[in-house]
Amino acid sequence: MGKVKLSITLKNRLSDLDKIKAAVSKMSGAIDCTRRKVKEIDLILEELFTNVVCHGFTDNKEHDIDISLSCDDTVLEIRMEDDGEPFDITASPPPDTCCALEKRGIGGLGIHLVKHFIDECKYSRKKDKNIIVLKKNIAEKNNLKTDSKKES
Amino acid sequence: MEIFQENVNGVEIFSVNGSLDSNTSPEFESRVYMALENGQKKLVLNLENLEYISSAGIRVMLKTTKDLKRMEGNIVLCSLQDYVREVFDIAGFDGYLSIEKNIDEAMLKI
Repeated sequence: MGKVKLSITLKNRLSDLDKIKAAVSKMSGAIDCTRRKVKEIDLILEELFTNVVCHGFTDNKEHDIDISLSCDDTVLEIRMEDDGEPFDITASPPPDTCCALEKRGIGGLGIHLVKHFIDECKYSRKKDKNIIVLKKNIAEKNNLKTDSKKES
Repeated sequence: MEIFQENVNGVEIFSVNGSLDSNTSPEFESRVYMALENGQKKLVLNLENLEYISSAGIRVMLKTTKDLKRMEGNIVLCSLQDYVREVFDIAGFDGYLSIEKNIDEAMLKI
């Protein structure tokens, strides 16, 4: 199968999340990818997008967030560009998952989840833009059990 | 997302189906807090048909767990699909939340 490419431009509003889900759904129909991997891709993009929408901008203006997905049979590349405050995802510390419940906050959780589900992550800041490039292996290895519920 | 709600022996059971993401979690949160305002202190979340969760859904569950602890109530989750279970594990919430295999065990535990 050849390469599948898809680009979308979103505004900094949470309701645009539906456009991401529609794009992922469209792309997953064109590639060989399990439902489980599609959920992981949905999660990565939702967390990246909501993070920049909720924390990336200090004004009340409308901003563009560009996401492009490029995929072959084994690797998905995600590129996200935004003109928000500088945010280096690679330098973001993991949340403290061992403290008492009362002290446990939610900060950093989304990015923590993103990092778990990706295989490569690069960040750069160019012309007042954050540019994140992520790679995720989408070929299933020995992990077919996750979607086996309905087959068994 | 669909939410089905019933009360069995004083336990409020929420069956959450579909997707708990940034757009759907606020509705889930308001349904849960409506029950808390009505005096319910024992909650079971049946997640058998929950296909997808993000940090927005986890945030609601963490907040509810904290508030119920303060109110001397209790919350038990059950029947998590593999993906949802993994997200809880990565988030490090498996230690804070009471998670049971099925609804029967959740009802015994609550």
